[in-house]
Amino acid sequence: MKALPFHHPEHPAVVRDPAGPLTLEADVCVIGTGAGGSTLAAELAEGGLDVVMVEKGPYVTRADMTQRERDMMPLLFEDAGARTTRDGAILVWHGHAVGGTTVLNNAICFDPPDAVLARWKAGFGVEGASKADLAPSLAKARFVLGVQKIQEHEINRNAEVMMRGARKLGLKGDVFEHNRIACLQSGFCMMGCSYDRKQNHHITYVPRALSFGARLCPDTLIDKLELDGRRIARATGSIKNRKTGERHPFEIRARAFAVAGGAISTPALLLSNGLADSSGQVGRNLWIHPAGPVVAIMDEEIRYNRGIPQVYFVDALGKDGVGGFLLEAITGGPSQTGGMVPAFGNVLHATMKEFNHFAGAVVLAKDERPGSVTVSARGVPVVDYVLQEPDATTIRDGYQLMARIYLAAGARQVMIPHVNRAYYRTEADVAKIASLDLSPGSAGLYTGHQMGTCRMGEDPGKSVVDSGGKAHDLANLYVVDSSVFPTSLGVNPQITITTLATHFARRMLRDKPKLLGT
Amino acid sequence: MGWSRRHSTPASSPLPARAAGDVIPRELVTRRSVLGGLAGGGAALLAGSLPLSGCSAGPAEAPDFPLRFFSPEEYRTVARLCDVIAPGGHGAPAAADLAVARQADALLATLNPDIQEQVRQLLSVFEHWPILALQWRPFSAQGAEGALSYLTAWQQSPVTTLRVGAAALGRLIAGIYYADSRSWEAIGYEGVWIGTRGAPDGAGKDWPDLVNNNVYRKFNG
Repeated sequence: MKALPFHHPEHPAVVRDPAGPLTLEADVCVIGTGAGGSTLAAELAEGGLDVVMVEKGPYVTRADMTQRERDMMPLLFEDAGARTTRDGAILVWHGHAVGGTTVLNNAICFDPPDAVLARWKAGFGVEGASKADLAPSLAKARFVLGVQKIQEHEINRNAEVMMRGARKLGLKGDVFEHNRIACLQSGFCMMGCSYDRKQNHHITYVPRALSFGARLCPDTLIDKLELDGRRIARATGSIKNRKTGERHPFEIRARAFAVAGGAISTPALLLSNGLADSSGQVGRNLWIHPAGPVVAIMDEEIRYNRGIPQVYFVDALGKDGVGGFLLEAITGGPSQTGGMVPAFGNVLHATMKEFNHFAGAVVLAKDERPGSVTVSARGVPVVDYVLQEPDATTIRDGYQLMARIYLAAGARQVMIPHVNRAYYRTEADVAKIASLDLSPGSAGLYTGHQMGTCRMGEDPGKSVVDSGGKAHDLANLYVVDSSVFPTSLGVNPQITITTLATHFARRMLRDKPKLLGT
Repeated sequence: MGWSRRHSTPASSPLPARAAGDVIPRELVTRRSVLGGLAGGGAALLAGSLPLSGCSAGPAEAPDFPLRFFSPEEYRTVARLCDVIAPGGHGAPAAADLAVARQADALLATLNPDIQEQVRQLLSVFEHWPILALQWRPFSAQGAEGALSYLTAWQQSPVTTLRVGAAALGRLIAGIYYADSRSWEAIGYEGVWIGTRGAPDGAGKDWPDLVNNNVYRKFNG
């Protein structure tokens, strides 16, 4: 009988649907299988360690991916995409499946920005993570993920509108690098790729880890990390049997633990267990790249849902690694689009009747004022983030530039999801955006990039983990996800997370006895 | 600069003119001094403490299917919201035809308990806010124009909690409505590719090697 490939959900290395309590042992337990966790697991397994990956979400494969928002948002998004900041003002989107947010991202690849890495060293004491230090890890990350530039034949009409306007204004834009191979351009990346062309971590690093002997436990929630002196001795929680719906006790003993649940779930787990927080920094310094959509209504038909969802961008980031924004062309399905339209009844319907004439983009702000993550009495992560200055001005600047780009491209009118329900048709209209009210609930904002909350650095009084991801307070606890970023990154983070995870793994493997406590 | 010239939202006023069915004066919703102190959890507590049964829209009849999350009263509020947000017409189905309220019930039953509690508080305040403003008809008992006017007043309010609440309710109902394939034809959305648009059927019966064989290739960098 032919062996199942490592990306098959029924592969024997995938531990699922136990009939009763399950106890495992490993060298390293990695909690979370997104860009950080799956990469670390693959690297450590390739280095000869016995690794178990634990993922609270389901193992969703292309066989499950229907391209329908109704099916896929509950399956792939944490809380079906309904999670918001505490005040309800900003949608907080992140993944909830094997592969984490990479399963639902738009496959944009930016190398770690030099200016930001320099700022992390100068301002936060991060050592050994310069551009040169990270180069080997970056090269490997790009190789495994198949990073390449979007090709000319892959540019969709939505991106063409933005390109046309940017060129007329003399702006220098570019097409993204992405991690798709032989893309069919169906346009449903955010609902998971039904064709395995988007090189999500669940079809790259997860099977790579399994091929080197790692095991994977989907549908497994870890809620307790138990100490033995300065070491985590075991993690406990529950594992779901999908056939019966029952949850059974789950326990894993390991010599080292890596938490990689993302910048919301990771601090929540540490805070719930009172761990690694002698600095008081766990959960603080949350960065989210607050994102504000802008929609043009064109006379010609665009059908912006077609093709690669994000193709083209204009870079207006601060050159010193501080502030600024990216403008990124983006598409959306009818549910995500309709949910953002701040209108009801006939006005909502009349707006959505223009769906095939929409062109879409988003202002992605490199935020400079952080929020925080805490845990509610029920153990649910609470995201506190209020848009403040100078970030609100950054968003307004981005709205204005994007509106000008669209008007230059010939847009009939431009809309920003805002309770003022304004149309922008002239430069005089656009000038009014400079005073646009962005207080909570006024504008439709969301975040797809959460960072910070367990920042790295060499000073144990100011950071949670060291420059290799190890917790200052504990001998065998690592944090390996975007939580470790000391600042907002400014660009889509999957390559930086993957690179740092590779880098951390190399450091861990360099001193295996220390890692394993032997 | 209203969002549809085909529908009458005057440029000078972000709020619709008060109609006969209105039950909440615009000036009440837009006066911070009246509502500011009630905007947060205090409003929910107050709503919970009022003798609302005497001012209600009448006993809520349970729908003819088991509710998974909503109480019958909450379901009635959401069903009314559906009528307001997606009433149908102009070639579009009504939210009621798509059982959007029932879909919302099923969706919310799966979310975390904190979100569920927030939704319950929001629905309670939203339903009874007219009574807090000394009007006598809760939201679900209002006529079509009054209900739309009331929801719009929340959206346009200077009180953060009301704006955020209106946005959340709009996202929930419109998001579910436009996720339903029966709403797509009216907006010209062509739908999914799988099995319909010439792209390979992704619901694979086989598991070929990944197109990117980097997964199993050794990296020599």
